[in-house]
Amino acid sequence: MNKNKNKKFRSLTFSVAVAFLSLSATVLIIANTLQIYFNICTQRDLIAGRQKLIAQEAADTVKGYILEKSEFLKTAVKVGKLINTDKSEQKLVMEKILGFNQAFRQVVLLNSKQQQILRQSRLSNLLSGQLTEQIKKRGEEILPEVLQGKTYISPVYFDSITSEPLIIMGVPVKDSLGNFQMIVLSEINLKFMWDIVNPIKAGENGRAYVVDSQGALIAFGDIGRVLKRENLLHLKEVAKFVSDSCAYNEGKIKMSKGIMDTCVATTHAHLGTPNWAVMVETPIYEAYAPILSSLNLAAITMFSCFGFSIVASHYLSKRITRPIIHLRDAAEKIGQGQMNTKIEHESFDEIGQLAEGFNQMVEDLQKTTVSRDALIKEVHERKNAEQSLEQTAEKLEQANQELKNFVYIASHDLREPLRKITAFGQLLEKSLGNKLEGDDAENLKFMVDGADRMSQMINGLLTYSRVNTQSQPFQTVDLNKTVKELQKFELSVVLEEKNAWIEIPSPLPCIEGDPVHIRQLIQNLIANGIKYQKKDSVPEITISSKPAADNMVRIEVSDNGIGIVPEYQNAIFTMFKRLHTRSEYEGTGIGLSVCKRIVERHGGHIGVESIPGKGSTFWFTVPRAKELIIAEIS
Amino acid sequence: MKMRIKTEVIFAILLTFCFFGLNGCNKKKPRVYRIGIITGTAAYEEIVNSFKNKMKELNYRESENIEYDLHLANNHYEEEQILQKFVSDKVDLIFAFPTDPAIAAKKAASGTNIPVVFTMAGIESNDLIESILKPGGNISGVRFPNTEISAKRLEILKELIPNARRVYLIYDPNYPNAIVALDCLNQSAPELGIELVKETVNNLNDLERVLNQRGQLEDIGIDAIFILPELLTQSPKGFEMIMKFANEKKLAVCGAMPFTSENGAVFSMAPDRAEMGRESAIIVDKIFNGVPAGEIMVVTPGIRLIINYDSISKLGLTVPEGLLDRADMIIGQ
Repeated sequence: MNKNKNKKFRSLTFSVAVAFLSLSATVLIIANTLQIYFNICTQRDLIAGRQKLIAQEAADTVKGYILEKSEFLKTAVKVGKLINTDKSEQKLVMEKILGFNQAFRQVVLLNSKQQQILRQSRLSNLLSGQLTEQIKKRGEEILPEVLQGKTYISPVYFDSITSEPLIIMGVPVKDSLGNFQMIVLSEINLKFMWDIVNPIKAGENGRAYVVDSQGALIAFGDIGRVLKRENLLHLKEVAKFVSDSCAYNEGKIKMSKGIMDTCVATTHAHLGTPNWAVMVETPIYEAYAPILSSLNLAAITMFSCFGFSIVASHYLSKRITRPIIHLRDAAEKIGQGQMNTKIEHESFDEIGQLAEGFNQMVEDLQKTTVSRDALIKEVHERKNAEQSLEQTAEKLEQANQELKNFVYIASHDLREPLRKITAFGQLLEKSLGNKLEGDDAENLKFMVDGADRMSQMINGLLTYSRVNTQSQPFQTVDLNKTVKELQKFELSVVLEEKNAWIEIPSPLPCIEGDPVHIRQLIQNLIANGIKYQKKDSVPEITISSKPAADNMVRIEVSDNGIGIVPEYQNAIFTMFKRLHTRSEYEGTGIGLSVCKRIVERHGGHIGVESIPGKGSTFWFTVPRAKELIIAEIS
Repeated sequence: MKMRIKTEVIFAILLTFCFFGLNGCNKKKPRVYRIGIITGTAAYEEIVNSFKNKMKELNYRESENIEYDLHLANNHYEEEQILQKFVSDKVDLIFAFPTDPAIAAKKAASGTNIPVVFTMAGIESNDLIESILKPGGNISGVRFPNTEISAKRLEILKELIPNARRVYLIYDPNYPNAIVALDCLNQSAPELGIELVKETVNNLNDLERVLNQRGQLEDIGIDAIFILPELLTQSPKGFEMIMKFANEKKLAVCGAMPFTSENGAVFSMAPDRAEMGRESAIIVDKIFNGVPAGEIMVVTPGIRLIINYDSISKLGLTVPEGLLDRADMIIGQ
């Protein structure tokens, strides 16, 4: 109970609310996590598919742009008169090529030995030299390609002034028999490709750009970066394309740093010819916008549900614990004695039943028990009665003690004057002797006898009182020894006078008691047995013992005396009770009272069994000697 | 009991509204940028419009997050006044064109943190930028491709009028672009067998006087007129004087800016103004997004060749078919 008192109070309402909340939160988190996970998987695939589609479309557009130029060149050299014609015709064809699209910056006609026959340019002659240098540089790679009838496309190079990206596109010029005659090379400004790359949208803020096989940026919305001749090999997706442009792009969306140095979802599509790739990047926040939106929604849902869970847990915990709190309050009130307390229950569930049961219990309690105040009152009254009883007992004890003291003092103090009366009476009787006449001598004799008897009575009283006042600590008393000593000293005279004998059929046991009082007890009983005899009969005293209950021993002193009629057998232990006159048997009527008092002091009982005319058996019980008990136990 | 349930329901609703409310309270008031635009040419509309349109595409919308303060400077004094105003107004950026206002803007903005974006400005023979790749300072923009255009124009003139030997150059020597162009022409002319007849003028009166003087000569000594990229001869009044003279003397005029071919020159060859406006806007956007102007590479715009077929026909000339093919625009026919 104290242990529980020391423990901290833990609110059940709080515990129930927390439990409910924890449960709700766990369910919510698990459900939302699963939903988010599957959503992310689905959305990721969708984003990847969309991104790949955009990249492929962009690649097709860029490729279409290059193919358009290539096809135009091929058509122009087929339709235009370039073989076996004068320069003006050739010049016209080349001017038409230039005029076809601003992207054609310069056109050069080379013979089969790769010597320049004619050049037409959008640039002034002063600035046209860069193409000549490029043709010289790449001459070896141009011829094999065009001899196979293919369109030659050079790697990207940049204009020395404007830094605009350029390529050389070359097509063979064949005669009607299909023999190779000349080469038409055109310098194409990829700047004009920017206009088709710019509108390529990858979402709201996505970007598309084109890189060549070296990772150089050749088309991008921010042309400044193209003009700076940026190489994007440091970007993962670009590096992947450059390292293995033929690798199959599995179309998985990847997150990496993008061209704007931000985290993007990126993919690329390879053009094939030319060996470029279109990179498509969507800012990660946009690419994952549906996922973020779904996460947002999930978060809103979760927080809303969590909010509702808080309210619900509060409501439910209150609903569950409110009746219990009512029960507790009611129990406290009842504990304070307000027995008319009732619990008002709102629900008809188990708790409702509990409340009803509690009310019933209180009702029953009211019927079957007194109120606490009544109980306190009763206890108080009982305590008062006990106190009164104790006080009375104390007073009684005090009175008893005073009486005992009085008896002792009276008997002790009365002996001296009485002895003087007796002694002086006897002296007076001797001195007056025959001088006295008539009744005077007899009266004097009566007086001496009376004084003598009174002395005996006082001695008896003194003995009686000494049982309580002059006692010795209990010790082992050997009854055989006691009887022998009595025979030898106190009873020797009377035994001899009456020729009485004492028989002890079997040795008497040792007992635990006051040796003086026990000796007094046995002496009185033997003396009584010798005294109350028929005339001329020889007193025979038999002393025997029997075991009694509660470690007591029963001692029986039997005689062959006159016996006691049954109606007086109980009265004989009363003080001064005599069944015979003094003339029949001398005595004071105190002896058996003393015996009774000694036995009672030893915690035993005393009694008599007698057949008048045949004899009596006085018995008493006293504790057995401790040694005997220990010996028996061991 | 009912009251308690009501309280709990209200609490739940409030909680939900708070959550949704907080979710939607994160919108910031957009910053409003102010751009001071200074132009030295009256023919600014195409550039400014394409600039504004591109800015709009880039999410800068007037009355929302951008304000433009456009001024036309007719002379250096006005230039200074306008630029001082921009500086004292602490505009976020100065957009200046062509060359003179751009140079003045750079000077005015030095010592401030106002970036300058130029367009149609020559970068040769002046200290506008350090290099095309890295212009330096707090400036970037779209260059006027003077070197690419000037010699080519002379080549086209020769193609159009193969007999032309003496080409008349009348120009304001104080305009930097003219000098650069002149250098290119000096290099190209001998190869083409052309003699450049040069005459400098400082103002419109000067121009009128010089033209009158030449017009009064028995042999005017020129076969065609070549307009250099500078403002005096390409001002409406100045060009009108030149065209009047050319028409009287039946001379072909080789124009620079598009308006010249629209107003009688046989052809003009100039950067694409719309493109210059668009590219300038892209640079401005970069600057507003934190890229230092000096780090942004100078852009070269595309060049447009406009041929006035009518003017050529009037002069009895034949336009080569190849030249017509190469033209971006042909006026007349």
